[in-house]
Amino acid sequence: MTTPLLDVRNLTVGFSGTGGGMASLPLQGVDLEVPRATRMSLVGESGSGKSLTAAAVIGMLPKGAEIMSGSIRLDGEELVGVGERRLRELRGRRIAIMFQNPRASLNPVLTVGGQIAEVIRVHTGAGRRESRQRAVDLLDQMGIPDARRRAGDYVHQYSGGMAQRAALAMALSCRPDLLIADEPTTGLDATLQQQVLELVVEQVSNQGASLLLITHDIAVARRTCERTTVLYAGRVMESGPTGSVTGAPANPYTDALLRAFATVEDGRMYAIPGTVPTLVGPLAECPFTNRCPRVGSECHDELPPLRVVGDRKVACVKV
Amino acid sequence: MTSRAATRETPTRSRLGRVVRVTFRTPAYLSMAIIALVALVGPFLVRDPLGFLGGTLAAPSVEFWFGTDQFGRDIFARVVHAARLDLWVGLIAAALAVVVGMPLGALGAYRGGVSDALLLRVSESFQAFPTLLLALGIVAALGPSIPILIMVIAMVNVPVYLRLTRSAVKPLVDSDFVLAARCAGKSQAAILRRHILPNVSEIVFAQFSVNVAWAIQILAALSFVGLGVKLPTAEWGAMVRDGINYMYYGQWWISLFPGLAILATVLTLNYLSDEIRHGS
Repeated sequence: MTTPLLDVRNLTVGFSGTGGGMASLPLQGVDLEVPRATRMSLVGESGSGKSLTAAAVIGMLPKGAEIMSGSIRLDGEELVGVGERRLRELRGRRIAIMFQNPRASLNPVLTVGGQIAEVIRVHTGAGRRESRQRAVDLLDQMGIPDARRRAGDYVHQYSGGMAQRAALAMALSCRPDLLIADEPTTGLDATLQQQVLELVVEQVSNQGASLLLITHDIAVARRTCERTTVLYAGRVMESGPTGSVTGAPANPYTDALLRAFATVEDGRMYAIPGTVPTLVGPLAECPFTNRCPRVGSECHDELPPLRVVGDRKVACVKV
Repeated sequence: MTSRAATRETPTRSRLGRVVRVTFRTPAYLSMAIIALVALVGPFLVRDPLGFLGGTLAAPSVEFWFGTDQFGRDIFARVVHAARLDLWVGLIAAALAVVVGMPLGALGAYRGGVSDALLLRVSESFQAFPTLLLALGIVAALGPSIPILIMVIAMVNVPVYLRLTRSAVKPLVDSDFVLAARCAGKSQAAILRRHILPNVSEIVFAQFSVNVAWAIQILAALSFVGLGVKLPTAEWGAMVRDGINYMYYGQWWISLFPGLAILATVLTLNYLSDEIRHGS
């Protein structure tokens, strides 16, 4: 069996409180595998821990957060506890990230081309002229019209879709092995969403890279990725081939999430009742019990482990 | 055939054109351009500021526009010569304060924690003293000379830039583009230099103009109390002090014209700061 490109095991992240203890544990034993040259989506509602998982992978947890336990391996190399210098080498070069708001993620006082060229220079040691040319080529490849001239423009001169294309160009400038796209199309209108997603898929496939797409929209995951992992309250609820996970969900949460996006019941959009629990301490039972339509007494007995069920992994005692 | 290149303005020409247009449209820029021109070219065109030219205490006339002082020196020539000294001292002192205060403030805001707290406490301890009193004390201890004056004026202004830059950088530290730069593997120094500082430069440059004005005022004040530039060197503050006793006897021009020069320069620099802030 080949090693997955990204292998996250039992990842627990906590936020420290004022008294030195942990105020909350937003990720509790997350397991995630991204095989090579594969598109994986990480799906879940707000507060489920998707972006925090990505931040942990890239070694950029917010202030006050720390990895309590677990392991993150990139191509076999352990990233938990590795120094900042090594992480800097990996960021951009082997793992790249693109954010939800491309206008905010590009520096307003530097030209777009200049910013892409700078990343190339930092990681490849290319000269000014060469990196500039590569930046123009990348913008052209991303479908930016008149790329040479537009490389000299600032981000406020770009439309939303163009800015996201430029952000993608910057993320892919050093041919990373893994691209993490954190809600890359949330701020775009429907037609642009599709175009940008298609571009992301095309470019990632062309480079032979893997994609970790973070989205709350399960329909986007279905259109884009081969595999899907569903996250809820800092736990993986279900993970497997997108077709299976979204076609015949095994976990009640996945099922509820699909209904919430796809179904109108009694003339109203379906919403999952209740809210995501506040994760102040270690979970002792399934975190979905207070909202689950199939909840039983056994659901309160223990935290369900992620078990292999057919072609997927599911965390539910009822399955 | 007219080529496209020929019909379009080159970037350098268009930039120059914009500078000229803005200068003539905005009184603050025009006034600053005139003062800078006087300081740069004026000393080559006027009389010797130290030369005895005849009648002492002569009132302003066609020959001596600003009159002469008690030693028969041309006050106009001295005011023009002093412009160069005052502006240089002001510019260098303010620039030194920027060079030290801006990176320190940015570093404190970016790193946070102990280094930030330490920098803040040090700058607060400097700012606890009135600026002029602090400058007076240091100059009195070290002795007045142009380099010492520049250093002292710069030193008392460093906390201003440190705090200003810190407060401007603080909201940028967690901004998406800084996060994106970190995610792209750029070093802390590169992020500060390339991504954060250019975003706060406008605020700092607006303050720079005000700071040059402050520096000129501090220099004039120090010279006025006898701890700044020594006579007979032409300096506005020293010239005001030089002529103050003659005011009582009706020879108002000795102090008035250097005083007006200080006023005009300080006002211009303050207006210039407003113009920079409002993006003219």
